[in-house]
Amino acid sequence: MQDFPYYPVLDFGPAMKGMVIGGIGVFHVFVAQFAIGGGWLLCLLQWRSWKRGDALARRFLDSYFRVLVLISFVVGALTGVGMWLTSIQVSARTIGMMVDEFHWIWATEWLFFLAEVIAGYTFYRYASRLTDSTRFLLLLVYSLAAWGSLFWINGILSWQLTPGGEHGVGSVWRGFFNPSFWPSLVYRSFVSLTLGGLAALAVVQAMQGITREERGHLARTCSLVLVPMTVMPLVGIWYVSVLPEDSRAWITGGSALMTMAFGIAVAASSLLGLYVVFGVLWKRLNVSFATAMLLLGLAFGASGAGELVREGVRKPYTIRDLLYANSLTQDDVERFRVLGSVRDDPWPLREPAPTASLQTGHRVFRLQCSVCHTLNGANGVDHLVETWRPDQMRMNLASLQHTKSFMPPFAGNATELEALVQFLLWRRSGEPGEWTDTTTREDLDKNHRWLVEATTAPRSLADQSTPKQGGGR
Amino acid sequence: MDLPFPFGLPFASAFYGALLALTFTMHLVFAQIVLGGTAWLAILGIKNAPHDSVAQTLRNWLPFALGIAITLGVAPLLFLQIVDKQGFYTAGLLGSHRFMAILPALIVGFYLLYLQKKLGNMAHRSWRVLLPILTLLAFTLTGYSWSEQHVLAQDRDVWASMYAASRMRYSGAEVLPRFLFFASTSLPTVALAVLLLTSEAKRCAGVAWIGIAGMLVSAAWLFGTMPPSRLAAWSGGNLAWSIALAAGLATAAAGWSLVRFRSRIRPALLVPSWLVVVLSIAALREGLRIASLRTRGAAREQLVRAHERAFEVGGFPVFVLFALLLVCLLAWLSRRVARELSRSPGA
Ligand code: HEM
Repeated sequence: MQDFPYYPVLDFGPAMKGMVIGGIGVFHVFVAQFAIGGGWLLCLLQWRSWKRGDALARRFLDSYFRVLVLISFVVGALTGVGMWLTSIQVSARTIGMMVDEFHWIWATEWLFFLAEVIAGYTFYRYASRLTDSTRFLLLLVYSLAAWGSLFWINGILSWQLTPGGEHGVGSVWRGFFNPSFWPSLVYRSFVSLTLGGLAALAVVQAMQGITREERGHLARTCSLVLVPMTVMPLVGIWYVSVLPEDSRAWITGGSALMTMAFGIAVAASSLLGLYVVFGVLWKRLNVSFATAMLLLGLAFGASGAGELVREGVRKPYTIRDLLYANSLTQDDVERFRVLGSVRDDPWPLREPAPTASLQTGHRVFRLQCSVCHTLNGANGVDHLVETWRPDQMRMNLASLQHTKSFMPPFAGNATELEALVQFLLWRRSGEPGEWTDTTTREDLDKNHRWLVEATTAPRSLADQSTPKQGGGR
Repeated sequence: MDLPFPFGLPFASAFYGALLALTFTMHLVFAQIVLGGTAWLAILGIKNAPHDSVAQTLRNWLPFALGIAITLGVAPLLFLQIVDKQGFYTAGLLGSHRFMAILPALIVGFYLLYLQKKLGNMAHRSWRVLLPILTLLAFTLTGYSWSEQHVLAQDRDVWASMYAASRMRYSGAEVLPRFLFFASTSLPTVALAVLLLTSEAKRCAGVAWIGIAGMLVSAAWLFGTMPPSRLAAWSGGNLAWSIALAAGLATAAAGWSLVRFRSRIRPALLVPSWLVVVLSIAALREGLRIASLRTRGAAREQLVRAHERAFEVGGFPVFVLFALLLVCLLAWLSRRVARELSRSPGA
């Protein structure tokens, strides 16, 4: 039983844990993708300078590369490490499982990262003294390596959503090339090109000492990498088509937030694509610095919303079919239904409630609910149950996955369920210093019955199956 | 475990432990160049030597060294999560924002280094003092936090009370002398790097000597803070690595004496001996980490099983393949670049 890894659970005050990781995540993805797209643009510019003698392209390339290196190498790398450390803060077990399954993929990604940094720094220090062909080679290695890191990490991240196949020995490649791998890779590659191109447009406009024509010429060259953006809606459809049905339901009305985020991602990327094709390439409009920044902002919104959708549609899992959002596996749920989930929890409470049962309730909340709910801040459980009568609370919590299907099944026995109910009632009563537990035998029986009826299966599966697992006391 | 680490361990544990120690060694070398280099730069700033060749070399190379230190830090970060998942995650969770502060500190540190590189010797005197001191603070916080995190990961007895008190700072007596040991080690490391890049042999030897003395003093202090149970771990295989460390240190000290008093630079002596020192430190760290689990049979068993499970997962051949490709590619590219640089006008 001690195989269950109890980690200390953190409390971010009024903020939901997802908000913390989301904030760093969006920023990191933005910077990393900018570096990847920027790399390919640099290859294009170097090619033009080498094969067509385009001196302007070369001048621009050298200044843009400095921006890229300065922003992406350190901020990109460190926000990446930041993602890792933050993921540990939110769900150590999730990241642990991912590392166990994919550490050689991650190690391979690290090799690509190393190649990217070395090629990038060599270019940064010595490019002015190198021949065109070597400059091109260095940029090619840099870009391939940067995109390669995306390739590797994309397999791990898409696995979380659509693991595909069996988990366990020998399943690495099946897991890696999972159903959403390719659409997700194409989607991210196009977003990268767009971000690299848009940032370049901003740099073009900020460049000093060039004529209006030269600016226009450079802007059109940089816009070339934006063209793939126009087929983004098709990639979006492809991506959505490989999503599991319940995940798809979230973005098509099942969850207001997810549907809205999905809508923003689609609308913003379509607008961007249209502007690039009709405005920049066809009508040859001059993109001012302000417009370039606005477009970049739009792209930031689209990529942020896209990441939010990617994180959100996995619910109730962090790794589909393997690990629920609260870091419990299906096996844990079934075991804890009998044995209770916090009996062996070694972590003390920071503010212990007056009775043992209330403390159990608090521990159950901490283990099973606190990853998505605060007590009285964002998505605060106090507010959500405010109007529920005690029996309603028992029933709704016993059948958590039916109450809202993005919640995992309750993973405790009837006594723990009652402790949670009492804890929430105690909070509703203003946390009095003394608390008399009025639970009756009948209440526990009801809890037991409702737990059995709810089964231990998650909602989408539960819908199709008859109750199979017993609850315990 | 009486054989020196990683021998005598179950195969999977030895394998991941060795990978951690090797990748950590690479990280440590560059992290020390950054830490020691920034300290040296701060002293030169205070001494007001704007055109000093060492200061110029450091300003020129430190941003790059930091980029590499960070990149090389990612690999041990990965293997650590296999070697001691529970310890690392728990210490990270307990340290929480305090530990995570290393990230903004490193970002600030990088831009300060870059600023110093850009300003060069044009910077006003006060900036030449202030900037390296601020940078040093950022990297000191980072290095200290890693030491704190490492010791906390093993000090399981304090975990629950630290959590209950919402205390994010761990103040075990070992942390400060331990960090000072690493900080002292960084001086000979950066001295060696500067020696290979400049002709400032005597000054490098002086800095290396200060570092070696600091290592001895901080090691003595560290032993003084250790409870008997921790000191007992310094036997068998760990003693063997300690002897290797002492031998490497003695050879390096002799090498630096040749540099200082005979003006004879012997990279063939200094570089390998210093590698032995750094590698022994890394191996000793792992040996001691394992020894800290000796009294915790269940935890140790669990860990060994976790290593075995991780070892069964596929993907290793692909990693090896790309590692070989990377080595070949970089070797080919660097030859090409070096050839062109030697022919270019700026050579
Ligand atoms: C200039 C910046 C840095 C400095 C000066 C530095 C210094 C150190 C030192 C002194 C240690 C040894 C701690 C001990 O054993 O007591 C260490 C360990 C470590 N560092 Fe760094 N570090 C830096 C940046 C980083 C970064 C950015 C990463 C991650 C990407 C990293 C990853 C690690 C890892 C994984 C360990 C091993 C921890 C363990 O085994 O418990 N370091 N670092």
